[in-house]
Amino acid sequence: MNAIEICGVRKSYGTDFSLHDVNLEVKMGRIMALLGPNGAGKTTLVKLILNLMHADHGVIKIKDIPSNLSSSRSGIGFIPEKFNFFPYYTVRGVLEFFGTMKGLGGNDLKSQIDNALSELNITELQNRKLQSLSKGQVQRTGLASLLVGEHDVLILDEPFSGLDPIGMRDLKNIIKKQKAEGKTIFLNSHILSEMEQICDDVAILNNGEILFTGTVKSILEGGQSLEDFFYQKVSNKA
Amino acid sequence: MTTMYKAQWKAMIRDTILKELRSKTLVFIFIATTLMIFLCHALLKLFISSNQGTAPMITGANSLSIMFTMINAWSVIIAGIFGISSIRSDFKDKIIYQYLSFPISRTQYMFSRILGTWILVYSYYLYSYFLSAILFSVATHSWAFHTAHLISMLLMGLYVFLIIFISFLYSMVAGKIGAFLLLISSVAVISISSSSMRVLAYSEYLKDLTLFKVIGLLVYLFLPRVNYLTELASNVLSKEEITLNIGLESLHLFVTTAFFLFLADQLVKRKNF
Repeated sequence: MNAIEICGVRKSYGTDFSLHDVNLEVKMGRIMALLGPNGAGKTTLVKLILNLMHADHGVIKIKDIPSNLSSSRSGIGFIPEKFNFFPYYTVRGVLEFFGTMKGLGGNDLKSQIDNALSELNITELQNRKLQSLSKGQVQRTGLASLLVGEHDVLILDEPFSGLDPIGMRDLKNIIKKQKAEGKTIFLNSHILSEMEQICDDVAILNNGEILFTGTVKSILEGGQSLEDFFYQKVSNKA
Repeated sequence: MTTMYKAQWKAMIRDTILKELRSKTLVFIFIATTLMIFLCHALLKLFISSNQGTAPMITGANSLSIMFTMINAWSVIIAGIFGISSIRSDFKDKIIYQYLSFPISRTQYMFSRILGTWILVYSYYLYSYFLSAILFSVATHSWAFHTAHLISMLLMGLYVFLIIFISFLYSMVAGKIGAFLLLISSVAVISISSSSMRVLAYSEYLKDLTLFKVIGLLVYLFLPRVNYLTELASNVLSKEEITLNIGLESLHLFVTTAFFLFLADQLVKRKNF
């Protein structure tokens, strides 16, 4: 069973194709990076996985459950590029709401929130409203929400965006820790040096087509950095 | 219903109420309504004291009925405003992505937003009624509460729910102002077509067809005649004879509403965010 399985997915906006027959498998327990230049179709693909959009053709399954069923999202943690929620919520209130929506309650919810606040070093912000926080602190709150709930697949859309160097380091540690716990992580990012360090697999998407899928190890063994490999693939196609 | 499912419903409804309670419009409406009720109370007292012995019999119950008609009309606008904003604010800054990434269906999302808004608007409605009832009882030294008000309130509860639902439906396809204009026009068109078509016999429906008559007929036959509830509530309040065919009107309202609920559900399910 794959964590995410995308078969023959097509999506167009009017006459413009955003994705052409995309096939992709994200294996359980692995970290996969989806790389691509701006406008490649990365965000569209993430939206399709989360059923925020509907594909014109093809099937997407999450742990063998079609993505159009709400149960497919029962073990998913998601954070968009810019985490945003209603400004009157406190940091703790956000985590309580997210935890409840993911099926947690009582002591489990409380202990997971305490743990998430502590992991992200935002315990002292827990009673502050989002409107009083900096962008980085709001993004950390979003990251903390990934630690609340029984997830086995995490989908991160440009997770390093808006984080300071300490936040980036914390995020990398979280990703590594989640992987050590056997969780699957699917993320897209432009920061290739970071991806090279933390990912097992990569998929390169350009103009709506998957140009490459394989392991980071195989790329590095070929004597190229991920950045050089990516540049070569994308510029060849262009 | 599993515990998780119940907790999600509760959290979503609470979230909707919390969101709307922050609205400046609600604060303004709340203050304006309270002031208006106190003003009506003062005017009523003034009228009674300046017409001692000469004025027709004014009781708490009949003065409250007049006030109640005003509150009913005002509640439609409020239901429309909050029905529309219940989902439009989720589109702002793409917050809706967070909601739809939770393991809940879009149908659950839609109904929790509608129910949360209904609870808030209906609470406002009940507040207006009870404040008026207390003040009018004091002003007239008579008991303002009446069984007819209770029946009318229940009918208006259903009406407010339908208005919120229609507003929600329009807000899926139009912006804030567009959805509000669509709502007001729909309510007006439904009301006009009902009053013109109801007086006709079935055999007259297809006679002398004009463009306006065709539109009126289509609206009358296929759209939920929500105005039926306000008319019935008004009949009950004024203790007038009810001339409406309650069985037929209720059946029509039930069937057309069920169809539009199905349509809204399909629209929400198919929408790309």
